[in-house]
Amino acid sequence: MLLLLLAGPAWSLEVGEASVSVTDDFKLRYYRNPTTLPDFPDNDHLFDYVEQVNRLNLQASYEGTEVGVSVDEVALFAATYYLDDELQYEHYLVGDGLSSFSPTAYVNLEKIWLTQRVNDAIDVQVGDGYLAFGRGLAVNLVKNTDIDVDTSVQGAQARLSSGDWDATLATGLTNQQQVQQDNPNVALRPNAYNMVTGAGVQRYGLGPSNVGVHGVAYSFSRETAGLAESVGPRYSGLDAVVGGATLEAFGVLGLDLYGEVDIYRYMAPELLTDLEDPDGTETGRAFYGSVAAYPGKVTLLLEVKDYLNIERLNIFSIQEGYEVSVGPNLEYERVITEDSSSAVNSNNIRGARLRADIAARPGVWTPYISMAGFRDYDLGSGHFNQTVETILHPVAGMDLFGDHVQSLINFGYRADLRDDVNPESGEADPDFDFGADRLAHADIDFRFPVGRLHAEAILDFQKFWWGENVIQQHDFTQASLTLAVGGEGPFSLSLFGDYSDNPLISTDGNLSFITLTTTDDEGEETEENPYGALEVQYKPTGSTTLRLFYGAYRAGIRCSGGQCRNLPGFDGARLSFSTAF
Amino acid sequence: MRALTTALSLALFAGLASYSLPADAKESFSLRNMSNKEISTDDYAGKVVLVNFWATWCAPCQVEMPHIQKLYTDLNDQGFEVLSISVDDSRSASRVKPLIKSKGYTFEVLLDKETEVVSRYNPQKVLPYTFILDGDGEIVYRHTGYNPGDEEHLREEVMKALAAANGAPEAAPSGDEPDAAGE
Repeated sequence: MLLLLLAGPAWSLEVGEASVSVTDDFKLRYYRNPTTLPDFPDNDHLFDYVEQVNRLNLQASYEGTEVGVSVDEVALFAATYYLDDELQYEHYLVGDGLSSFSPTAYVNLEKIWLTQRVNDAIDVQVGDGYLAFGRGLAVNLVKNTDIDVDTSVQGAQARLSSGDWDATLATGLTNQQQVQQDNPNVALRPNAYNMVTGAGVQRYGLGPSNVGVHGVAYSFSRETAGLAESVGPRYSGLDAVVGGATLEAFGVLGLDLYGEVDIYRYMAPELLTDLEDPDGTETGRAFYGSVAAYPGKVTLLLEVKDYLNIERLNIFSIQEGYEVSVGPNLEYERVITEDSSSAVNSNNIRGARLRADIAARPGVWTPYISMAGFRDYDLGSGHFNQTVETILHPVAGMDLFGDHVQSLINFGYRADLRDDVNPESGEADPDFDFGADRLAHADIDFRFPVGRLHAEAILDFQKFWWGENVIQQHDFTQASLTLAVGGEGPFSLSLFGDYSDNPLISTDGNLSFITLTTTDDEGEETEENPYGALEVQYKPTGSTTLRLFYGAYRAGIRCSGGQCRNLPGFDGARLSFSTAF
Repeated sequence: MRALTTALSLALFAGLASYSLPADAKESFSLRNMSNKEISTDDYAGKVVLVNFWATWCAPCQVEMPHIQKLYTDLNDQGFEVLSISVDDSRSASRVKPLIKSKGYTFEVLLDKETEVVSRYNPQKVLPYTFILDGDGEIVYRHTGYNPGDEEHLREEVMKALAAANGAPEAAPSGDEPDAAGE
């Protein structure tokens, strides 16, 4: 309770001509752990523990000056025990290289920045800032709270604008968040501090066009990528440079156009080779283009990409859980296997996606279809396939926004068709049949009134069939259902259900009184318990929310913003308090 | 870097300590729109402005946006404006305009590709996130998330701000009227 009071409600005030605001996000999570010890077989809650996480943001602006700080704090409770009168820690919260006043608590000044508007043409920022050029292919260090990634560039940044010209200059060290906001915190690590220096210039208003050029240089820390034990300096000079150009045009023959080309040059030995290319390549290239057209009631968007050796740039930072550059991926991001998430981050892929939205009743009823097709040549990383594959993925959907009923629906079918060639020779061979990974999916979000209340039902369903792999996997089905109801008052209630018979998922369902049995094509039966949870939300004001969650959900891969993470499941209770001022 | 951090901390708190009470704070930021034209909140001085943060991948945002369009259609001639800010990062910037065009939205859409403005007002980047600026550019209402029915409360808050800005009594909400899109 004391912690809750300390977290307090958000407040803001005006001081002089300054505006000061404080926001806070507080979470208290109780983790259930069924692990038992041989001497205590009946006690299955020995390793239950509580984690408390808080992020405090303080920001002040005064005319052209803005300053801000974010402070993160995490503490573990009920996470110790005595063995032979000696205190034991169940979780090492603070890993090597970090120091803290307590082994079970950690406070970090996560972000700090000062922005000064020098005049109408120049803004200067020191401290933490975000940086992206073009479509993110050269650098894309921005916040992605969807998968708990918040890596900034800590250093200096200047933005210059004069007439139709804009320029950005930035240099600094990457500053990843130490304290996870949504996931369990264990063995926190110090920052790796990769060096990033970039410059970009944009010229607007060249007729209907804008053009830009940018360049980024990287020097990666050798304390990342598990190389901390290696002997030698932390940095080894320039490791990689990326240069690119963009062209954008609006309304040319009724089309909106965008094109970007980036060239990568790798100098660091660690970036020169991978499993697919053991001889080493010093360069990479990327092209991304989009064309949008608006004939009648139809909106067409065609996106094309051709990426070769661009993911090597992320070899160091991916060890720290983020990527320094992420281009548009075009693939369906709700992938559910490591193999298909590898296509999202493929090092050698080309393809396109065409989407057509039809304004059947403008603003009310919009059906759409899309078709994506790729050739994925990458066989390294987490790819299960031994031969090149062709990915085809049609999707059909409909957005309905009525006055009382709203619905977002889509259905799709993805096939990763593997080339039936001899993996050694690359020649077509009738003895090799690798089949295809296939995914059928449906997403339905339906909102409707129930008397004076508002209800929402969200259902997603995926059925996955594996092609032929070196280690054969089991086909599986997974689905989740959310039912929520709320009214005009501050309270709402949500019920969650979750199911998967994917044997690779590490968590178990908490609804042990329900057992669902499935049988695969070989007649093998799998028994699984589903997951269930409920959440009560109290929202006394528009920007203050209190949530109490109890139950479990499953682990799984989640991709967002072109980055994929294996997120842990959860079993326990969670109290969240957040304000946004 | 530790020295830089310390210096910035001291500057922050020294700076805060030097301010005097009380006065009004005006919010101001600028971003480029879908045609790369720079748009500033200062361009809307004297008007009530609803600022709404959203993303192409955010389902509740998609459900909320038709209600914002309806507000804009109903109240634009009373001095009400909408700045709809996409926080899609630079990777998906090409998808913003097709979404807006396909749904027939007519309000101003800005791009926050580097998440700078959303980080300033909504550090946790919970979406959708909405605030209302009054005629003096001050925030008079904030709202996080979207649940069905929230649009009615949002309309009430906009009407209050318009009444204050126009110096007139609040007009009756028109939440149940047919929308301009033909529903």
